[in-house]
Amino acid sequence: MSALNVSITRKFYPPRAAAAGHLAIAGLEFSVAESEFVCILGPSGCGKTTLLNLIAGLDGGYEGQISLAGGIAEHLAYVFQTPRLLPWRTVRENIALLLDHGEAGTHIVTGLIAAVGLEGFSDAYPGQLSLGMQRRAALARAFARDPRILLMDEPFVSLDEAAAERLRALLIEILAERPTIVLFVTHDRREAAKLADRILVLSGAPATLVDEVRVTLSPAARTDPDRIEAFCHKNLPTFVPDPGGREAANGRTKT
Amino acid sequence: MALWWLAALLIDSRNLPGPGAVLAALGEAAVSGELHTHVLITLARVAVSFTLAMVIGTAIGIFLGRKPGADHFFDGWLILALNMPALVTIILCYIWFGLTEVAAILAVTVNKIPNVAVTVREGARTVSRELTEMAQVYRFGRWKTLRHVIGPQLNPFISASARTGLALVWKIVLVVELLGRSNGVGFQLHLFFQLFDIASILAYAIAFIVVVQMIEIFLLQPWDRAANRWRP
Repeated sequence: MSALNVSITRKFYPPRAAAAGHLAIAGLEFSVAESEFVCILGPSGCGKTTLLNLIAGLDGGYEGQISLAGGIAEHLAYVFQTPRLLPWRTVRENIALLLDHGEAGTHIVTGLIAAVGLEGFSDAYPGQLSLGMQRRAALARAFARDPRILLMDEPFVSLDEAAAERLRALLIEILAERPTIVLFVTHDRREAAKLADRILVLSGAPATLVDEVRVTLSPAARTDPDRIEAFCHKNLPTFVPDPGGREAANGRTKT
Repeated sequence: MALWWLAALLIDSRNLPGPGAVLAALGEAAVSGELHTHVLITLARVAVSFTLAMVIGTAIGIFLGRKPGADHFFDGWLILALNMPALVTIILCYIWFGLTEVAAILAVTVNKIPNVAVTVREGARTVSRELTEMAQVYRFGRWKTLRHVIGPQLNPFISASARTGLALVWKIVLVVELLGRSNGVGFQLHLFFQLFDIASILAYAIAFIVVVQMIEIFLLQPWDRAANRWRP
């Protein structure tokens, strides 16, 4: 019994003013089990973000079916490619907006802020924080939803490798305490190998499933760059990164 | 100030009284309590019609900015309303609803609504889709989205229309009072006009400008500062 079933026959973007129409996804099928960490690996612009948007229910215009097991849709969290924090609300307020007011809510927010290592910054506005810290806040917000499924769209992109590595470790740490289905979109095969139970490899536009790789590395092996490299070399193709800046850093441009 | 005083001295006419005469008139009106009464009445009218115009205009602006279809349909009407001479609205209101307080307030409000709607519409059109999507994913609901996501993005536009709005509203209120009310600063100005009491006219004008300045300094500016606290 899988928790998420995806079967998209066709997702087509009709032509608009300047852009020609294009087929984003065609014949994509997969399912994900409870608490499974699935990485979706594919080249830039292959429809990975579109896929997450469809699962999140942001876009209903597709042919096919996406079904979430009972109660999961109410506990869906989405970490976008940019932090998408409200710039006019403090870190604390950004997270608290997802929760009920009152003491219990305040307590949860404080706990989440501590969990992502932002103690001392809870009253700062996002604009006063570095991108890495904003990403931490976005992660804390996602977990405020008490998620049963967590969608992540290249959440650690445009950070330096050390910062990205710290955030990956943080994510693993949080997930160890709260088993969650994770769908993690990335173009970085090493990142996928470090994190995933299973990797879905997509081909370019329109997105279709070309390979499925189960990652059997031990937690220790995942921290060893050589073994990750060897695993990637043997099992996974390389992809060039998404051209950055499709979403501006402050989340204010329209796409 | 010195220039005014010098000009008044040179011309030496009742058409341009000097600062001294105006100040005397101001003092006289203040002591008799007349200034106080009429300024307060006018302010009350300004407050009511300004609030109504801001609330209704903002609602219309958000609606039109978020719904391109409706915007397309109502755009022509909005332009029409925007360019309707204030005097026409006032006269029509008085004819249709009589020389009443309601007609006066309505006339001012109707004059101001299109300005607010047009300004706020520009803001509503540029609301960030990314943040709206975020609010949708995290199920903020309509009210939370409006208050925490859309509202703050509209704030500069609402603030701009409040500024121009206040200036426009109090000027129109004076006209409305002049045409159909028996109290308020507008009515007093009309009275002084008939008496050619220019010192008093200037005295009332100065008193009212000072009051509006106070509103700007003690209400609008602190509100602006609070709303922009987050900007680095």
